[in-house]
Amino acid sequence: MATQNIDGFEIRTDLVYDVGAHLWMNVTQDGIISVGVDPLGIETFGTLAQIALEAPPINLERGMHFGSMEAEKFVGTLVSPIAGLLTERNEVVMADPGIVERDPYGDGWLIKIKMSTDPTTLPYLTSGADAVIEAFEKRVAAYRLEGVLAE
Amino acid sequence: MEWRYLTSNGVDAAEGLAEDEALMLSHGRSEEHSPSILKLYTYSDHVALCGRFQHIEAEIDIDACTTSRTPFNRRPTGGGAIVMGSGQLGVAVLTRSPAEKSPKALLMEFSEGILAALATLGVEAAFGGKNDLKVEGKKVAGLGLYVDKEGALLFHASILADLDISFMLEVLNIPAATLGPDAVRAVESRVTTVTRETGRQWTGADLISVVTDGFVTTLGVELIADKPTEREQLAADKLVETKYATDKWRFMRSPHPDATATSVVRTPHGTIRAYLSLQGDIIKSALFAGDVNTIPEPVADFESRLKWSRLSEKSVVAAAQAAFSNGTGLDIEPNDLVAAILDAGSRALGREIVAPHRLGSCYFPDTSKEPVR
Repeated sequence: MATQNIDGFEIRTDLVYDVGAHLWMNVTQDGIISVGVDPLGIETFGTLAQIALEAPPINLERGMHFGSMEAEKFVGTLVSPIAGLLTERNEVVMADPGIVERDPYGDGWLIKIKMSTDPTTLPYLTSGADAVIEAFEKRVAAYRLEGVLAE
Repeated sequence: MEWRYLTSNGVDAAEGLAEDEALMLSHGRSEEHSPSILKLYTYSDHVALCGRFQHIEAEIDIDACTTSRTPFNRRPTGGGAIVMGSGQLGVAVLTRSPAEKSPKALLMEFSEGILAALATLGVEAAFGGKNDLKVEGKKVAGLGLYVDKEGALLFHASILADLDISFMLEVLNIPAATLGPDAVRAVESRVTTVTRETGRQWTGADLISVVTDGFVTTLGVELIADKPTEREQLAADKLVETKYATDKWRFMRSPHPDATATSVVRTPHGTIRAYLSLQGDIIKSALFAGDVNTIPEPVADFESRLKWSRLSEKSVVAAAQAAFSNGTGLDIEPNDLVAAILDAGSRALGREIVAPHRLGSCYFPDTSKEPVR
């Protein structure tokens, strides 16, 4: 597992990201991709009070709702970063959303999607260590400029 | 840039909430670009509204609402229960959620119009607490943000032009309501109004023109007076019928149970009690009240920082460190107040949150139901 500390945020550089949506994707086995919230998203959303995830199976399109959450800063929808079949949801994080904050890349995963396309080939996603680091550096800098991250 | 501009007064709870949601329709990803909307409105006297995922019976006294014929409902936005009526101005901004901006940045951006409006009245408010606008530590407006499945955004604010505190204490199940004669004082030390800050009586409707000017100035937009389209009105009517007027929505349950508990702290000035309300392990509210005339500002700041924190030693100590850099103002140590919160939290959750020795000599849990320190 490769990680990089980017201005205080431990970011895994071996995963695929929808940086704008603060979602990571990890190909766990043949065509099964786990999806979770990245640490920068957790920081900007604030304390996660509620997470509700749709029950599988559902055919998801990119941008389609797969869950909702109430965080300190907003009530919002979780939208899928990729198209595929929702095969599993993490019941544990629905019962204890704090797990997402404590272990965002591990036990805090949200859903698993079966997908026939390699997500690293999708142009709207970010993958590869250099690209991931660059994308997060830009995003952290933008958030600091907006004053939404603690100094 | 042109924005649609809607105003109304005396709206019903279900109708007002439904219209907000219906106005989001034209801002989803699958829609053609539509002008953003600023809606300023007041509810009829009074309505009680809980937050999106709250248990309504825990937040609102349903019997008191029934007796006083106060409609109660659930907002799509998060946060705590509020009372709305002619004394409060509702502000809604509806637009497409920009992908590049964080929720806090959006809250701050849309708050600018309100801050500018208050400033023209000589009320210097600032973004503070979790999602509040505050004047010298006292809440004058609450903020909320909701993004729907289609990526449409609803920013909502309730500005306290005035507030009938006694009525609020009657219909909301907030900890201060249990303080008897001290309840109003407890609220007044944490909440303020435009009326109180300016020394002049204001209603929500009175603030409409001021807040309108604030948004025009800060966002640089031209507001075009409008009303809901036929499509929006039909959607609003349907939402009343299928969502906001239904018990399924109003009495929706969360998987995370509510819990409350108190603990007592002795100070050289008298005894104060910590009132803690939780949903799951999230602190909904923390309040200190008792034998002191005014709760010191650092303690009010501690309360504010605890709100929406996860109940853990780490987060409570962090809140204390931030709030008590110059002492507690009660001639007791910060650890005493930290321990009081953790004591109350332990009883509310039915388990210890921290090993007794971790906070040093100030933390000696009593096994009795309500320990006195």
